[in-house]
Amino acid sequence: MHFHKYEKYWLTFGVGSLIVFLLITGIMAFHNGSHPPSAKNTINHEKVEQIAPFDKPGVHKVSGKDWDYEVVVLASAFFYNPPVLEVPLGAKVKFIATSKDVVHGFEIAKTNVNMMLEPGYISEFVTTVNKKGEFLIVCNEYCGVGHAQMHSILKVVEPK
Amino acid sequence: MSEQPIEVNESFRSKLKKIDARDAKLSMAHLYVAFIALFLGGLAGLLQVLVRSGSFELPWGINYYQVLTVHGVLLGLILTTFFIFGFQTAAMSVAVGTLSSNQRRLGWIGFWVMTIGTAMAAVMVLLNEASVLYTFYAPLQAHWIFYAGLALVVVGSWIAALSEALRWMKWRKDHPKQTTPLLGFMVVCNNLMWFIATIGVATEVLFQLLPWSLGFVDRVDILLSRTLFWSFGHALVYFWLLPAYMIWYAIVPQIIGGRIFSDALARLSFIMFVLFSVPVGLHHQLTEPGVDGSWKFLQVVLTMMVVIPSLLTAFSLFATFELRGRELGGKGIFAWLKKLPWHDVRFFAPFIGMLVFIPGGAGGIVNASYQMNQLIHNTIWVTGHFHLTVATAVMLTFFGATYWLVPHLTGRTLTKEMNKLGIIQTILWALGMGIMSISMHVAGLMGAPRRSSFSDYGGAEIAKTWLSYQIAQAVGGTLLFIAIILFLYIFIKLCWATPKGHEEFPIALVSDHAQETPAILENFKLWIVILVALVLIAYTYPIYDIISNAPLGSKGYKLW
Amino acid sequence: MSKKQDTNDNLKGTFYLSMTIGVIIVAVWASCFAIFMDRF
Repeated sequence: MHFHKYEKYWLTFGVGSLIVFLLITGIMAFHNGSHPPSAKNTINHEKVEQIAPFDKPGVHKVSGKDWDYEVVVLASAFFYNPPVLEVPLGAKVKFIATSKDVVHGFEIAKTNVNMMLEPGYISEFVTTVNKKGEFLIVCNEYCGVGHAQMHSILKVVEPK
Repeated sequence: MSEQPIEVNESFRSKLKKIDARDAKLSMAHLYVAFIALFLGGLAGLLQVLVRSGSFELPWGINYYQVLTVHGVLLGLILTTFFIFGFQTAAMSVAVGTLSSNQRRLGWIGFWVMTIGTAMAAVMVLLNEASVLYTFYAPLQAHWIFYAGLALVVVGSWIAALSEALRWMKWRKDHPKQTTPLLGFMVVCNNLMWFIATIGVATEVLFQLLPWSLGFVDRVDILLSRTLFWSFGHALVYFWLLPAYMIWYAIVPQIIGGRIFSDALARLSFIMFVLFSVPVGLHHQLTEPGVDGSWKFLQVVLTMMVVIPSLLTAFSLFATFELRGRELGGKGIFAWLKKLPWHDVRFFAPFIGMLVFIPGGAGGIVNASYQMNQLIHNTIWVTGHFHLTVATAVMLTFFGATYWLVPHLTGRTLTKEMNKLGIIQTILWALGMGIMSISMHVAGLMGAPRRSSFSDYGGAEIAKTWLSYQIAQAVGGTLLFIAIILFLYIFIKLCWATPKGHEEFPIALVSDHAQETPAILENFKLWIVILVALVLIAYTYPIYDIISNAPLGSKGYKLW
Repeated sequence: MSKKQDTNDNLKGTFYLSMTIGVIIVAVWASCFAIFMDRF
């Protein structure tokens, strides 16, 4: 198939940019470990309140792990348990969340913490909270009539 | 009187070509349903933006999400599918040949099956038995008649596609070793992709959602249902896009008096769209648990492949315009642009659509960029994104096509007055969508979620910063609704009121400079094998993994 | 006989317009990437 000279330049530029995009995301993913939330642990969503860690939702300091805090959140129509989360600035935090009923979202506005919560699956995301302030957590997947009222707060505070 | 030499070239013959009246009727039937859906779905959209502006409440206790379901189902599924089969029926009939009576009968059966399905789904939505949005994610459980109705829409579309496929096979038999007319080839590609893509969603509905909503089974595998849905969901967006591409590639050049830049490149880009339509659905599920990151990344790479035919398309279309502009005496690097027929809505509307597709495509690349998806996933950025792509690039092209297609079908003409109104309608649409979509993108980057009724989120500071963008969305949405009313006025005039006459069904010819089309592009057996192989590579392991690691399934919930 | 594409077709405008699209795409992607890297 024949291509015009300029079309060759254009395709080279376009495909080149594409390769650069894929290389950057690929290196970030497979070298720096920056994957979107893709945890594969499952759980019985109907008995989730009796199963660790969802028997004790909240912020837990941990030791001997790659992260300093575990934030355990249980979502159900139409609220998050616990309703307020507080973590110290600079801490490496693992968010661990699931849903008790339908599909919910767990999005901390203006951060990269953004994951789907599905009944039976545990969603996880690890990040270092490096900005102080109060961050709104919203449900970003339609879950029923109270969907837009489903929210909570993440407070990132100065370490004591 | 001296005899004038009459120039009877191909292009002139195409101007005289007239669709068979019986095929015209079948095509028009689809358009009526499509534009009733446009009106009702548009009205729902208007209500949504008004509610979200914070200064309006739905009367009579109507549920916001019921209105949102109406909007998504009617515009995303019904308007598009009916318009596309209406357009494709006419395109096949004109470009490939009049349907046989059996093919036409199949077309009507398809039409009625889709229409009955639409009515079934619509009744359930209106009864508030199916406020599950157009993606109907389990475990929210709609009434079974809703799922059955949607299944009938898909089955009806298969029957309509079969009718078109049979017409094409007949052509092939009558014209051995010849290349299918470009428009016919493109219709076949789109139907092939549609058929393979809908297998996933049909499986979801028939084997998961229907038995579950009928009470035959208690529980349903949530992740499997979502994965099957999205194996269809992204091909769905190409199914919307490809008919717009048909118009851009094969029709707009004739409208401007030019030629198709390259027949082979047009076909190549369609084949690439077909190949990379289905094995890419996981990029809608990037932030979901239960699927390995590496498999998501593989599908991200496959998703990005579709950038290549898009690059080809951009160049080909601009080249068509430039060659024509220069033929008309246009000079300089860009001055030839002035020679294009800006006052002809048949060109102007799809051209604006093409322009809007540029930011639409740019945003799409961001969405699919693996971990960067976390930036915008399920924020209203995504809503802004597909209102640029499907609701502007595709819809403006469909509007532009309606302005010549309907008078062609009804034996009337597109008058100067209607042309002018069409241009105003295009500008209103572009303006309204520009305002609405830009504010959606910005608010989305600031974290505003999609698919949400008005909320102050407990007085959170950040939610206040979203509000001004929501008011802008209401302004844009209002302009869009006015544009819909104007469009429907023009449509009605073209159906029943403008002067009788012949309006051209513009089909462009290939440039003399273009190369011959390689026969391999028409080798559908090969493309089907590659497509199936790609789907198997991309989905076999993830689906096996989902099934073998499945947690306890979910019972149904009705939380609205 | 395959006809040769006329490489003398003046497509300068097409080339610059296409490259403008490319620049827009790269700019949008780079800005979003910057925001992504800035956020936690």
